[in-house]
Amino acid sequence: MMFETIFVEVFLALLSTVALIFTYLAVVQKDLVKAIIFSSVESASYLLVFYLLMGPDWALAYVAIGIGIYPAVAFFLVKKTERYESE
Amino acid sequence: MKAKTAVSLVVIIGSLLAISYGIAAQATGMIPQTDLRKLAEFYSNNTLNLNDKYLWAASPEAVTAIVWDYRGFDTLFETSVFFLAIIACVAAFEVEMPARIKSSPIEQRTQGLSIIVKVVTKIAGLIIICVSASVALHGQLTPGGGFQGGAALAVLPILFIMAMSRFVLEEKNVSRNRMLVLRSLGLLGIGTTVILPLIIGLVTHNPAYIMQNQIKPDAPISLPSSIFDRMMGGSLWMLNLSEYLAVGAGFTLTFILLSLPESVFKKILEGERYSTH
Repeated sequence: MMFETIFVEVFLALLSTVALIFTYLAVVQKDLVKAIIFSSVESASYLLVFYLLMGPDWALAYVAIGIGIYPAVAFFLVKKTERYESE
Repeated sequence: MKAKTAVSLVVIIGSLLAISYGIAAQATGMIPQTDLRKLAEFYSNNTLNLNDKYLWAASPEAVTAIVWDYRGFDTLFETSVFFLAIIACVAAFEVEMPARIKSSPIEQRTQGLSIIVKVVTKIAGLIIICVSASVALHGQLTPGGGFQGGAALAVLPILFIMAMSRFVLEEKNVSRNRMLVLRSLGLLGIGTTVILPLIIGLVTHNPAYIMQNQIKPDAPISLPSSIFDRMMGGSLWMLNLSEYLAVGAGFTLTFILLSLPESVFKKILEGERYSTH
């Protein structure tokens, strides 16, 4: 039991850090298509965080919205405007 | 630029360390928490209490029971907000849809991405339909529900638009008007389920509540808790099915509108410019 809890905590910390790194990358990235992909990697790691924190209902909504719908809407937006962020 | 990067790095690492210290010092309690809070205890004792049915929701899935039964009005108004947003989107894109282009089989093969992607999309599409339906229709038994299932279903039109083209969707009869009809059917289903206890109450001359699911001490009306020995959770299943239809069709509608080519809008804007002068 103790070992499992520690394992979950370490995994949670790892996933949150990955999410943080990808958030940073998404913010600084100038190519908006890459930024959207980084942002959905962030969503994917938060999805696992939700699952580990025993919220499978949240995770199910998050997998569709965070990885499917939100990047798609952002892609449509990029397609209708410009791909590269200017200074 | 370098100073800016250094400052942001220091801020990020500083807040990371602060949060980690807080968690390590158990400022937030044990994560994940191992014992139940009072409120959680109430729900886990009552959602599927076969001995005392006065507060039960006839569903082993406590989250769905809370979302659609115990806190049903919350979800009802959330749904109305969501559909107001979709109606706003439809109103903003109130343009004449471009005529359907019937493409020949050869054109269909050359449009969009490569044939490998198209075949994979079709296989994934079938899987998406099955998974989303099971998430939505088993919402009263397993994690999931109408919104989750509908959102998963809405990934399918996106994949089709990206891999093939929006005209392929229209050839498969997924058009704006049909999606509007489906979405309205879903909303009608939610509305009907909400007032169904009242109608049953009127017919059987019994007091009933709006959005009532199972029998209550002063309102002896309950929607079927099981059909053919399968747990249905009364109104939960019907609400999940309606929400699934409404959310899936609503999202698909917005994607059909969003994927309209720019040239369509340009033509309309030009037309407006000429008509005002």
